Amino acid sequence: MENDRARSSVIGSLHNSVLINVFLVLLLAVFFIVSSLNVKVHSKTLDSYIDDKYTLDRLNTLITETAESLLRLLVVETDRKYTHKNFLTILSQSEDFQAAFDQFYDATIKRKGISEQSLAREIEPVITELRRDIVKCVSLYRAGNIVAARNYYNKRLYGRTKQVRRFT
Amino acid sequence: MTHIGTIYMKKVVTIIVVLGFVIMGVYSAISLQKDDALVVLKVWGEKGASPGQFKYIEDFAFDSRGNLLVTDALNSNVTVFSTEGSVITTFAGKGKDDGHMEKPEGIAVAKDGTIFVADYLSGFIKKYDKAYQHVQTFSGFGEKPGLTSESEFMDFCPNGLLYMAEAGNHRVSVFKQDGSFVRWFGGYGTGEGQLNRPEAAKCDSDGTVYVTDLANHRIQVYSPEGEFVRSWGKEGTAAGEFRKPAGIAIDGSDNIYVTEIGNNRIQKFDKYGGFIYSFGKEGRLPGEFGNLHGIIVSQKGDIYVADTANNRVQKLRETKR
Repeated sequence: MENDRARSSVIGSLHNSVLINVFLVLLLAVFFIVSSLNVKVHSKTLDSYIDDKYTLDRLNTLITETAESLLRLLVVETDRKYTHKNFLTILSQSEDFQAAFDQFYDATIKRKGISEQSLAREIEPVITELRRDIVKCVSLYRAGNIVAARNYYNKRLYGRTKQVRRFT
Repeated sequence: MTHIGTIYMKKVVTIIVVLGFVIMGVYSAISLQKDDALVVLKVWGEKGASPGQFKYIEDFAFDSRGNLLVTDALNSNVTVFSTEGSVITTFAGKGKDDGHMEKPEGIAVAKDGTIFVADYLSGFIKKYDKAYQHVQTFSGFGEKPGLTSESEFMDFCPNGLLYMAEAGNHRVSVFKQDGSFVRWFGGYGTGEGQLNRPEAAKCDSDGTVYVTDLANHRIQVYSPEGEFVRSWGKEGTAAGEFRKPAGIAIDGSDNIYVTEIGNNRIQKFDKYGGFIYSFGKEGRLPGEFGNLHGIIVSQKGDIYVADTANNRVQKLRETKR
């Protein structure tokens, strides 16, 4: 009878340590799986942020280049041969603003961040307004009203450019 | 073998029971800690351009009849709601006439009931009478004093002057009710009294001006004359910290309510910046928010917030009142 008790107590103790070990192994396995999933999720989020940054940089570059071309046209260049080509470049670049913005918006949708999507929506009318201002400025210049075009650039377009670039 | 099996089973059951108690304890602790300070009374709005629908809610004001005025930047209009969310009418809206707007954001109502609405794109501030008819336009887009750039949320102070936050010019501009310019204060920077993209300026019962300094992630407080008084907050997620504070509201006891775009929550403070509570997280359910903007507290103490990303207004009330 006493032998039986001693045997079951030894086996009980053995089971206790085995159970703890099994439990620890299971815990480690769960930790490993959760960590792997976590890394996967975060790397996706990181990729989408890189996407955002890339598309915003593209928009920023487009706006900077267009504003610079316009400024050069208004202040430096007077040769009509060059200016016609410049008009076209400026207007086509401004057309690309919307496409660049759409790429950024698509990136925010992929990330499913409702706040980011909403914030992106707010800047769209400012981009539309910037394009409208560029067309107006070029139109004034083409009509020979250079002083008015320069004033328009200083008073309106410069500030508008800053608005969008602050966002990017 | 049966005896050993019984011992084994007992141990397994003991471990499961202990684990169960631990999980329940942790859950209870989290639940007790949650203790929501606000309860959602009503939610209204959805995406669209029809009356009662929104595209980008900005800020609120109460008109002289006690109706809730809501500016919508992308529908270019102001909708008049009852405090229960029924549409009464809309005004402003897209168009070429003087009364129309491009991107209305800030809104404030003078003591005589005249409604002032600020246009973010054109820089104009437009006045409407109690019947929501346009009566005057002043200011305009620019950097010079008296002009505005990226005009945001504004308020009438007890001294009868209009205080408007200008994100583009990093300042607060002050106008008389007739549209004449009085002064500006702030200016770009991170020092005391300097601003970086202020989003809202609102006044308490003494006329003290509270400004959400969005890109500096803090609240700045000024005298009615524009002298720096104090500030609180820094970038972060803890209580009393901010990530892009946007809207600000002040109740009848001069408590301050701040909405945060970055943290998707509302924080309440006493007038000296002492933290009282915070409420909310990102999401689409009632009591959850996305891209929070304006906030206003009614005389009854009900809180209305612009849940901009979800295109809806949420009406909330404090649970311990």
